[in-house]
Amino acid sequence: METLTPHARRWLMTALSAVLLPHLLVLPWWLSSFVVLVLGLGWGRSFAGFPKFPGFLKYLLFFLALGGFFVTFGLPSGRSSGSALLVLMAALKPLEIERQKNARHLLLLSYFLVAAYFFSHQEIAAALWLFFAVFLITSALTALELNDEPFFSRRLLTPSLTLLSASLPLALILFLLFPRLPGPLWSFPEERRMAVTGLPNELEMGGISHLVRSSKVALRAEFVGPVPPPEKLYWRGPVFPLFDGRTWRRLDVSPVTSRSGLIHLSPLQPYTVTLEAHHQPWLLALDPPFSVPTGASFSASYEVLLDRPLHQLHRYQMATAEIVKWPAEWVDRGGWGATTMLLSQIAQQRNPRSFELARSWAEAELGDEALVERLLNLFRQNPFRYTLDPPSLGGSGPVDEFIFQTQAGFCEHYAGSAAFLLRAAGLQARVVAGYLGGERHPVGGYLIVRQYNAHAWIEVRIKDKGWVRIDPTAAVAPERVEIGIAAAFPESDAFFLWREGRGIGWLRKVGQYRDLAEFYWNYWVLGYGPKLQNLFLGRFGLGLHHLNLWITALIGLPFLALLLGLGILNFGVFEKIPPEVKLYRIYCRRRARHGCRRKLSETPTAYAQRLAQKFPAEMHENTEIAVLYLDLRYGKRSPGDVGVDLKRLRQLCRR
Amino acid sequence: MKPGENLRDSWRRRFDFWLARRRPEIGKACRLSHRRLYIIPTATGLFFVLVLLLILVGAANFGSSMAFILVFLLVGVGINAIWLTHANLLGLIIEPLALIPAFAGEEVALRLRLENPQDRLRPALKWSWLDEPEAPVLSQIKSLSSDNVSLTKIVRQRGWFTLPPIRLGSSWPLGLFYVWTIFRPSEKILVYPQPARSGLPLPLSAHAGGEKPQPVGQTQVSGNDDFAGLRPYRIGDSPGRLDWRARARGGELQAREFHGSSADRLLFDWWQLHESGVEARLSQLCRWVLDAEVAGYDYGLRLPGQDIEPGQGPQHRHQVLTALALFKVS
Repeated sequence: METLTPHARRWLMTALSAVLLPHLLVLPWWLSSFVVLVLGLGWGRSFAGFPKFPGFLKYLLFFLALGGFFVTFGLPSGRSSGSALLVLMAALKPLEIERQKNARHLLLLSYFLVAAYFFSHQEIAAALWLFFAVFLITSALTALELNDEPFFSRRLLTPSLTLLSASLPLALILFLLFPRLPGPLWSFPEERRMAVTGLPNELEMGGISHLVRSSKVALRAEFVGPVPPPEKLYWRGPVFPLFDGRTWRRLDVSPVTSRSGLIHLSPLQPYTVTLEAHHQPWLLALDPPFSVPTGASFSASYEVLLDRPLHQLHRYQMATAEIVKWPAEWVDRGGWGATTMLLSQIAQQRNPRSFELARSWAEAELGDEALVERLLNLFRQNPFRYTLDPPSLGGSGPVDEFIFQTQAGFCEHYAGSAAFLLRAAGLQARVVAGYLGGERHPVGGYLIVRQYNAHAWIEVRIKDKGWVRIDPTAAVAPERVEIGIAAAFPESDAFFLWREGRGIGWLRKVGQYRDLAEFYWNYWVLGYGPKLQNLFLGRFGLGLHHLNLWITALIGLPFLALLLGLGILNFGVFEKIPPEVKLYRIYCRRRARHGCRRKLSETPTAYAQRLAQKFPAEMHENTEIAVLYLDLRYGKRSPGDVGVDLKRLRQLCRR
Repeated sequence: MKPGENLRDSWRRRFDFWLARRRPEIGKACRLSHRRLYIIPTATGLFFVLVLLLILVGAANFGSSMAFILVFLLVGVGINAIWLTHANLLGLIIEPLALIPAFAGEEVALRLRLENPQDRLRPALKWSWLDEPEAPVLSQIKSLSSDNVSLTKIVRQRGWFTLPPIRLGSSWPLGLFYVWTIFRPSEKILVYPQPARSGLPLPLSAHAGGEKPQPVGQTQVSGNDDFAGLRPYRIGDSPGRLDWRARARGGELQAREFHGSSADRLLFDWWQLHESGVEARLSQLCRWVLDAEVAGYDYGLRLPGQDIEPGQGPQHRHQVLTALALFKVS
């Protein structure tokens, strides 16, 4: 067995470090620093004079890594813990590798490590990393074959570059043609909640305002017609009907139906959403969602739900209408059962003052709509403030505290309190979280909704009308609804100045083009799934139903590529042949036709002599050709002479 | 199975010998065409396929486009590696060079001339005898050039030795595939007997004439009376006979020639040896031949059924040693 040379080891470490780099950015910090330390040891080993590691040190590091892993992740069960374990083991492995064979296997596993990163992250920058990492791993494999090659040598880098660039066309074809299956082959048990910015699963006072600090994209939407005005862009997300006085919760129910039964009284407006992975089952849709996309259905509180959390970018088509008529069954749904009632009682006990206030409204026996008006007036007529930094509500009754003491809050404070007050007054009301607004991309024409567009409002069941959307924030800060989040806060807020890029024109432009690139990336690369594939292939009349054709193509293509490659090599299609060799070959072929074929081992001089014996008349010509050819091929001459000689050789050979 | 060989290698060896038997022997230059080349995935190559399948399953499961791109790119890399590996041997021209006789117990060398007619480097070529693949000789050939490689093997038996088949293989660039070719050199190599390690002194008493031989060491110096003149140096002249003084003065290198110096004529006689075994006798005779050649004596040989007149020089030496190498007890 061949042992690993320091050169090859350095290449192994280079490739491995490049592969692990992006993993380090998503691992917990202590694991990352551990991996960096271990990689450092591996690098050290690749320089002469560094001692072999004693066995106990390897075991110590191994058990340290394993222990740390279990403390952080528990038993490995899903993607991120699985790849974290792989990363740890891959970083440790070079410490004990002494043989070429094992190094080769580790490099092949590094290909899998690259893939493991893509199982959960797929940003544009990662695509560049893909090519770079694959190039380095392939070069490292070559370095193992050329044991004593210097670190950077053309001989080492050329084959991997050739291999990679030559496989691009095949990769593209396979990417387009390889049949994509909808849905996972099997599902992993989900891991603990990942720390992802996005709408929460449970809503507390202050649960939305922290989102506003993030400018990460939540979704992008393309409209067929004009983009609706900002105050119509209510992106409906999770709905929270349950309230225990502190926290709003979703009804823990599975999807109910995929039929909405809604009747639109104004024209339907179709649009397409590209939603970033948020690891929750709900989809965002303009209020009210008219129908569900394939694979999704409605929950009892009219959320659009997938049957599993969304771990990938998802693209779906939806439609909305401004004026709709709710069918009776939707008005009655909403999970108004015993649990809701019980929780409502607890909530009332926790916030007695607000409860009393609402009871007093109910005793006045106003209509449903007048009650709502009463509520909004409460916010309008008292010194309520709309702020990004609301004072924290620590007590057991946050609604009481907010209404009667602090009177400063973000949208979820207003929505939460409003829903509570209306319920205490005898109406059915629920809190809805989502996004409000979005900015239109000046070039792409699509709408970008970012995390700082996060918003919360309420829905109230009003007699004869069904569920009606009411935004209490509009009573306090109407500019938030009509213009956008930036308008709701004073110009001086440096945070928003930076976010919106106002005043720095070119920076804003750069940002816009970055977003455009990301949009197309999402559409064509990440979003290329069964649906888009069918659409694309359908244009050429190749649906997924032509299964025979598919299988033939997929098996045939690689073989075709292989045959082509062999053919090219065998017949030297792309070989660079010096002109004198070409001419000499022509000459040999012509003489062969006269019955005197040049033998493989025969030198030009010997051949000329043999020809001279056979055709004494052409002796001078043959000798001159041999001399000219040998001179051109092996002699050192000035460029001027070469030209003259070549011309003469051409004359002689073509004769 | 040979000792210390695992099952896979054993089958591999048998397969290779089977292939070698199917191939005609080559004596002249031979171009490696696709008909002479075999290519299979290595164990690493199979592992690579397994990794690709794993990535593919993961990509389908998590619906990850990037992982799909990765796996398709690697499929391309794997397929291209096949022909890149194949191309590393394709078109090479191999020509066995003339074989040089050797002594039993020493290494015989098979020298091959390699020519690379294409404009590309051929790195990481591994040469080995088919029956000892463990220690390959590594070489590489630059584009449009030629190079010599020699493979050595220790031979124990005198006589004609048939060289085993040779394997030339390479798994460059990625080690995922292994391309190889096998050929049998057509010529046989002549192996002289093994010279006895510290043999008897030269049998100066058994000289061909009847005169008393002079002791070794004085031969060249005291043979002055028979000195016949100088002649230009020929390859094979013993150093003791060269005129070093003339050379030191700046002249041509010349050898002293002696006439009819009966003192220098020796006869190595099979029947004079008292060793028991045939091989031991041949070894002793071989030793004498070498010693006599170095010392500058004329020497002859008497074997059962064969007499060689005294003489010296490389031709004569080869004749005598060949007789020893091919000697058979009748």
